[in-house]
Amino acid sequence: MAELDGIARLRHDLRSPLTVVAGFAELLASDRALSEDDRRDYAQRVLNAAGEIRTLIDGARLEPER
Amino acid sequence: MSLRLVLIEDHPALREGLELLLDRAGCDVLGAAGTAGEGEALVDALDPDVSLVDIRLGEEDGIELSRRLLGADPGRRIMLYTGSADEDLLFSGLDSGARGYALKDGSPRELVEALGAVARGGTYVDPRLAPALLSRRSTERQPSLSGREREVLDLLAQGLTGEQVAARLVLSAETIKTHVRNAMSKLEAHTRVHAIAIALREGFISPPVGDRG
Repeated sequence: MAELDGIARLRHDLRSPLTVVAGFAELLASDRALSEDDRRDYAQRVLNAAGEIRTLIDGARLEPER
Repeated sequence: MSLRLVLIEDHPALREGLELLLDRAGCDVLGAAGTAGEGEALVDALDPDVSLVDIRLGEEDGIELSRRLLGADPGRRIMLYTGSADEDLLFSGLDSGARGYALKDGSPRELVEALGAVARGGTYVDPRLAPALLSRRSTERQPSLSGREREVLDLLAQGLTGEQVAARLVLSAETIKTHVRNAMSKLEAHTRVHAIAIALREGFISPPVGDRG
């Protein structure tokens, strides 16, 4: 049960950074008029969110060992 | 005129990202907050057209915040925002009086359209919630709605306001209100959005056109 709660929590926690990834990836793919600064800024947001997702998944892998 | 909104979301990267994405989509983001208390103060001070409220605000509860905001001013328009498709959470959210319920799975474009519908006095329930709503269909009592009541709820579910539904069906606004009241009573719904959610769940109406699948 505790493990199920952990999975439900992980699924929920992943949504916010995933929304950031999807939102800015869509913007990068669709707007060709973006300035170089904006492009770099948005790509960095995608990378940061991807890093957060990786950290959440790694944390979840360690969970059963605790 | 651009949509004036307040954003209440505890995840810093998503909050900042939404501010930027919604601003680029033509919205006027008046302010953004990461906690229920800050958000409540912003809504009080800025009187936005619509407030986007994350359901889980750290240890705080966005549904409770929605209840407080609407208790102070029932005319406020609240869109709840969540990563969870949990059915009980959906009904609890709609019971708070919020006029919209959006999932984080949606694209920024969908979110802007949904916020616009709610700001104009319409309602919105994320179409991705239709399967969860429909799953209860066979297990619960199905009160009968008249054809006209179904038609009215169907148009409201598409984001039309009561006035727009009246114009579309060539009826008076008062008649539309009566149909909505009767439908709410039959469905034992507390709010208009709640009635739409139940009607979707019971299969009386379909998810909005263009959002199916």
